[in-house]
Amino acid sequence: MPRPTLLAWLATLLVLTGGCTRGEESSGFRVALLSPGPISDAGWNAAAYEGLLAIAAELDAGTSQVETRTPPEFEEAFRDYARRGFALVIGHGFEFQDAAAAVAPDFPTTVFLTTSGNTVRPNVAPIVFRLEEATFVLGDLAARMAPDGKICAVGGMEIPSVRSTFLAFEAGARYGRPDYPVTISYIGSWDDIGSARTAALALIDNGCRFVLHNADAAGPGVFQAAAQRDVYAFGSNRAQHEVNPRAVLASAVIDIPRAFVDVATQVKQGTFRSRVIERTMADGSISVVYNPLLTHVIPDEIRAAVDATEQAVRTRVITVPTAEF
Amino acid sequence: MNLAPNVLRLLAIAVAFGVSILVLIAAGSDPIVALGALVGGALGDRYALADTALKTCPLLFTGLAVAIAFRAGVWNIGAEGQLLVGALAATAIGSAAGALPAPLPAICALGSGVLAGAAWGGLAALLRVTRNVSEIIGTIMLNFIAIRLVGWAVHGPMMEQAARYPQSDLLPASALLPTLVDRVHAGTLLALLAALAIWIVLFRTTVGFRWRAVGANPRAAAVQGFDPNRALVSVMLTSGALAGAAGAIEVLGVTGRLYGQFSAGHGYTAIAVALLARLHPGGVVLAAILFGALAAGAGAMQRVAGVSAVFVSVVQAVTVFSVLALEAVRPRRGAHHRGGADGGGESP
Amino acid sequence: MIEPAALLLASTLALATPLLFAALGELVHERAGVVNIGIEGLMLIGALAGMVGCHLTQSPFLGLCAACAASALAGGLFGVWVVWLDASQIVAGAALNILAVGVTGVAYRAIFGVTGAALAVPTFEPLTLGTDNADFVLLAPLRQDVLVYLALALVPLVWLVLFRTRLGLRLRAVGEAPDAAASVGIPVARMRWGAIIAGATLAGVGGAYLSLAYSNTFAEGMSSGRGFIALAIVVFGRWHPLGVLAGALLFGGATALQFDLQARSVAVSYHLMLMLPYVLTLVVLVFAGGGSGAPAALGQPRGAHDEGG
Repeated sequence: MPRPTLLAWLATLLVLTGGCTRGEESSGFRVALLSPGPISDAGWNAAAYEGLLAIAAELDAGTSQVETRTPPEFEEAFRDYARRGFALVIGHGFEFQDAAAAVAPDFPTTVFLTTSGNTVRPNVAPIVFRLEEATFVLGDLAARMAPDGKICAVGGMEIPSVRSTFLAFEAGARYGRPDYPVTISYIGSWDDIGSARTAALALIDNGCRFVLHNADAAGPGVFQAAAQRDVYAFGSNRAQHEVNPRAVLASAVIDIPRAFVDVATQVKQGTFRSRVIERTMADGSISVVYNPLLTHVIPDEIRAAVDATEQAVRTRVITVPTAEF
Repeated sequence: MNLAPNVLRLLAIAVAFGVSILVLIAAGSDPIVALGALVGGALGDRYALADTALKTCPLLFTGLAVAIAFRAGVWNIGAEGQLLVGALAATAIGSAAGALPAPLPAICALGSGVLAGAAWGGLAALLRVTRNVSEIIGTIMLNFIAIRLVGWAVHGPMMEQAARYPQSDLLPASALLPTLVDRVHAGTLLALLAALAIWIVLFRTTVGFRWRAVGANPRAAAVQGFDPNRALVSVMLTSGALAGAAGAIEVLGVTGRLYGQFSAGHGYTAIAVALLARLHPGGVVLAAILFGALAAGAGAMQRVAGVSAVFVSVVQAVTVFSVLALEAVRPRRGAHHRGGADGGGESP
Repeated sequence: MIEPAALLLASTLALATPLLFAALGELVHERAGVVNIGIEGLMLIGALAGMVGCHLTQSPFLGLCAACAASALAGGLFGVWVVWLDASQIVAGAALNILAVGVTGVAYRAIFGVTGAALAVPTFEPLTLGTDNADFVLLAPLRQDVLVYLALALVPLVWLVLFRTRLGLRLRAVGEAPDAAASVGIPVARMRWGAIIAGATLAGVGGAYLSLAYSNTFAEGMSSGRGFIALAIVVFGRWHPLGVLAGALLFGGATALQFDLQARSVAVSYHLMLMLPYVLTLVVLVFAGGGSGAPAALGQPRGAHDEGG
């Protein structure tokens, strides 16, 4: 007979807090972020949160952030923010598109931005980061440094954005030698460092000399494996050489904060128009960042060739293949 | 009753509540605003109530699933996996049967979800009865297998036509459950009906009596001529069916499609729901509402009061610990009953 | 053929180690009649405390000590509810898991900043064996960090304590028949307290292995379900240390094999590959027969007040 206790507990909570109204909300320019995971991952979600902080600082905006895992939560959060008059609500991943498209018609004055995706509505727009450009360059670098070897990649889950960066990594490796072998493993998780390490060890023990990861918070496991087998790894999303200075040779980096601030500025000024917003190496949003402690490892002539590749990618002389999504 | 334990228990609650407040102050937020958001987000207005109802529905089904199994002394930790295969089957059948006249696709989809859940639960029962594989380990393994099965399905045979994202296509409207008010779908009514039905089965039918008898004392039940294996299989089938219904209803009433990260851990939360409810169907209704309200309020705490998700987890945990301490305050009858209701051990 | 097997065995041992610590921790709990489904949370707490301790002292061993202290403390909290308050062990364990997610997240963000740490701590490194030549692959299984050896050494140690000492006999008596144990003067509550603290500490060491050996940093949620696998391993091992070892090795081996197959580009969906450890565990049980051996009083929240707490 749990009734009295549970009800008493709920009633107590209500009495304790019932008289309180919700805090008065400012009516200025406000921006919200829906992150699919913890913002402390020092990766994908952390970069988005930094973007939100940059918007707050540079545009004098009120901000709010919520961690949402399932589509029902996406829709509920989108609706709640829009109802409360937020001007811009960012869903940080392709998976937010459905919910954004479902909610958007009811709230025409709110802009719904998704990070990656292809859904465009009058007030729904995706921002697509061409990280593939950087992983293409890393593939070229790895293949040049290990001309007779193999290279590999470890992914969190096989979602389109991850598959696409690996596709470009493979294309980069085959830029110099069309049959260059590239192997890919997935661990089925974004935080299982132990699995990431084991997957990387298995790849290295099967002859791989360079490991790219796109597994978010599980990435350090890949670095640890590389360090213990004396091979090099590549970071993704952020410059990750500080996580493992011994193993991380370079990283494929997205400048998410800058892109977020640009969009928010347009929304604030009323100049935003809905479209697929593409951010590339050419506008500085994507870059390859080398570990300053390991630059001596890369022979000068290889570095020069890779820099040339990077320039060709930046100027669209080379078209980097991507998975269509 | 001895006074000292009661003082200790009340002290535990006071400490727990104080910890909540301190945690919120440490988070840099006004605890009154934050707790106000928690309650407001759960019960404050019609949107909040709808949100609470939506979050309660799967917990109610899975809570009932766990409660009846535990009543019969069967440790079904597998509501999560049974929910997932229920969702998987409902999606597959819902899209296949979409062309049938109006109520049929939804009924077929829901029915297939129920059957799939029952089959997944039945598989664990089969392993237990034929090969003596503990249902604890069987259901835990089947949970992980179901997660990977859903992942495989949405990357493979059930991937959307456009083949872009790891998710199924949206189900045709004919397969979806009707909406009652706001976002609240007909499945919430079914959940309440299920609670009533389970109450009747447990306390007004022979089957329910056998389940309870086997759960309370398997040896005595065997002496009375009740076959523990039959009880085990029938309760696991029923339990799986309820959890499968939870998954099917999430697809047909809320998401409209299947995707890789479908599981939100309802099947594990359900264990706490069922035990807090003392394995009573009526209690499960209230405990599911409590957890549903906590989940709905937790989102509002982040959005309105700026309390980050990790702080919300602390407040949720403190709430559960407090409720647990309150539960412990009341004198209980007979430790042997609690033993049957509480443990992770096997019936010999 | 032999070299890949040696590498596979090396990976298996490394994968089994955190599972072994955690499962032995749960075994100690359960032998005293206490089910703790909060092992997952205790691992998470151990992982963070280990990383923080190591960050502050730059010593993995001191980090390990911090992990032990923190997880013992968290185990103490669990003990207050299940021993003093006689509360439901499963609900208290579930609450512990939620609490651990919250507390580790709050602490990690407070110490290393909201967006997480881009820093590395020193880790437990694989031992180098005398005149070791890294090209000699056959020695790979031995080239492990010290915690792998510690985990393996704990198996006979736990067996010895549980089955060959008076303490172990009394502990098992509490798990089998607390009323009878109390009637012959065994302090039931104190035995359960001891089992909870010792078991929680072991789980914390398993967690610290994730942040101090698998990697050199912490990530929220990095225990990734290992605590639940540990629960299954205890049942699989029929509440016996050797069985637990077999379960941890089987599970670690299947996981290692699966990643090895992926690395060899075997054309099977990775989702089905990731299913392998769970399916294999069930298959082994089907052929080995399930058996039981659960302590008779497992999960009974009684026995707290019969000798004054």
